[in-house]
Amino acid sequence: MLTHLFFFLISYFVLLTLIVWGVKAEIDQEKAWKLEESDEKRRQRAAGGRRGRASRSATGARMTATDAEEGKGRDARARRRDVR
Amino acid sequence: MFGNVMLATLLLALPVCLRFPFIGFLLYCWFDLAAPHVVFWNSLEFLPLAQLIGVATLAGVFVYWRGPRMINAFTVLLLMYVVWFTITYFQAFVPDAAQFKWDRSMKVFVPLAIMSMMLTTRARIELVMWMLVGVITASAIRGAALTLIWGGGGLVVIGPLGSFIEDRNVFATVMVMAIPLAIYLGAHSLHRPKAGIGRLIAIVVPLLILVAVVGTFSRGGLLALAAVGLTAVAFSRHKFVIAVTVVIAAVALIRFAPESWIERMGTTAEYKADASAMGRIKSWTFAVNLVREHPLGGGFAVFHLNHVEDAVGTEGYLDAHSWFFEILAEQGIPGIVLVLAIFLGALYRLYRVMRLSRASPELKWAGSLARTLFLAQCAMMSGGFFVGIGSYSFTYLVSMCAFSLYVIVRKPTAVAIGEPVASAEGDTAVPLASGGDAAPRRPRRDRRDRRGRAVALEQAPGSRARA
Repeated sequence: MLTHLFFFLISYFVLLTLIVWGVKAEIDQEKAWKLEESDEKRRQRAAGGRRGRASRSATGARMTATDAEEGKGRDARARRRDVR
Repeated sequence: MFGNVMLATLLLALPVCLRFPFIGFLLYCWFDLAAPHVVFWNSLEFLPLAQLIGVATLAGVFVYWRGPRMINAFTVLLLMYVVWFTITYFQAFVPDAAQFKWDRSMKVFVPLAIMSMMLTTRARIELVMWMLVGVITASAIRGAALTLIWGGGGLVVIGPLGSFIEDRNVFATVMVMAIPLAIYLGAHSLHRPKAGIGRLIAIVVPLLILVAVVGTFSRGGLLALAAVGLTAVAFSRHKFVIAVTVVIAAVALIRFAPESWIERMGTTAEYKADASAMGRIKSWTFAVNLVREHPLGGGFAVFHLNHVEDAVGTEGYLDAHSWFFEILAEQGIPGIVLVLAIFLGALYRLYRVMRLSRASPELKWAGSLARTLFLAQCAMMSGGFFVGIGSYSFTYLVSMCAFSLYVIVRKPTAVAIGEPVASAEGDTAVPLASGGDAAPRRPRRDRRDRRGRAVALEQAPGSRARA
């Protein structure tokens, strides 16, 4: 009976410890993944912003990199005029 | 009362299994090894608690599984093995008995395959190890107490009744596997409660397990111990210290072990006079002869055809008494090739991790973990060679951890997992799996100029930052 009691206590302790440590580790893990995801999004936004700044016109009107490549916007129109 | 408390806890843990499926798999394996439904509540056997845990965990996999999925070689090999043993099951020589074993094997291998995809961090690998050590320690303490008080014995020191580790040889093998794991977890684990308690675990648990192994009177256990000792000396960085420790342990064993234990171990060399050893050789001969005639194996439970008659005239059958010959006879040459690919592949990968960790101080933890798993795998393969553990979950748990560790170490982005490393900004990067050792910290991405304006760190060369 005594050995059975000890066996139960240790098994129960192991079970609880596994659950508690497991939950703690998983929550930390999820936090880390969320941070990674948000960092990745921020990096993407920053990269997009750089492209935007590179193609920004003198008046400060925002324009995407694609627009700039296609020759839209005031600067592009001015360049075309100069060429003519 | 024990049963009710345990039952209530497990029922309360079901939502946890749903939300965190990895914990569900962990509890499923714990349930498999500890068999609480048999040990603690015989009257409630009708409640399919393992099934409930399994269903909640699988539901969690589909609903809540976040993060990377890591299909590694272990997953592929194990699933190939599942497909193969299902094919042999349909052609089994003993269909009725094969159905029972196939059913049990499916319950073991399919969850293991899914679990292997979730073993993406050091913290998770260590949780699996803690689970194994916890279950074994609970039984080993009881075994050590019985050994110290009554001198042990093969009928006294056994695993939990009704569990996979009930048999003393299986129990001894699993306990030997747990010795290096306990030492590593006590000394290096991310989940250690406190350094002092960790050191205590690293010293006391292996000693208790050693006493319990002696108490089982298992010769397979002694061989596994010898294999672990020799491998530890061969692969350790502190060969002299380990060699001296092994010699002291061996001398202490011979000095303090009961006479009956020494007598029984002495029969290992005189196997021809021992009925048990000769029974094993008969079983292995049966397996080899069967594979010669049927290279694709005889399906599960083919050893039921290995008839034997005892002195009284009662008919029975001789079991495989070896994981190797069990799989060889049941699954044929393709089956044993797949399982050997898992076991030897695990050893190779652990050896590679040990070599890789030498060159990089950041991978020191991986080197220690690889050495530990290498010892446990050697213990399983050597001790298990004399017991039929080919379809048990713990046989494959160490291999699973080994394959995952290799992938974690080989992936450049995963080197940081569980280990804080210096990032390009000179700050500490996020430990992806801190496992309770350190809370994840947000890495600094922004700097301020002299006027306190935010400056983007990642700028195109030559471009000016704007506030």
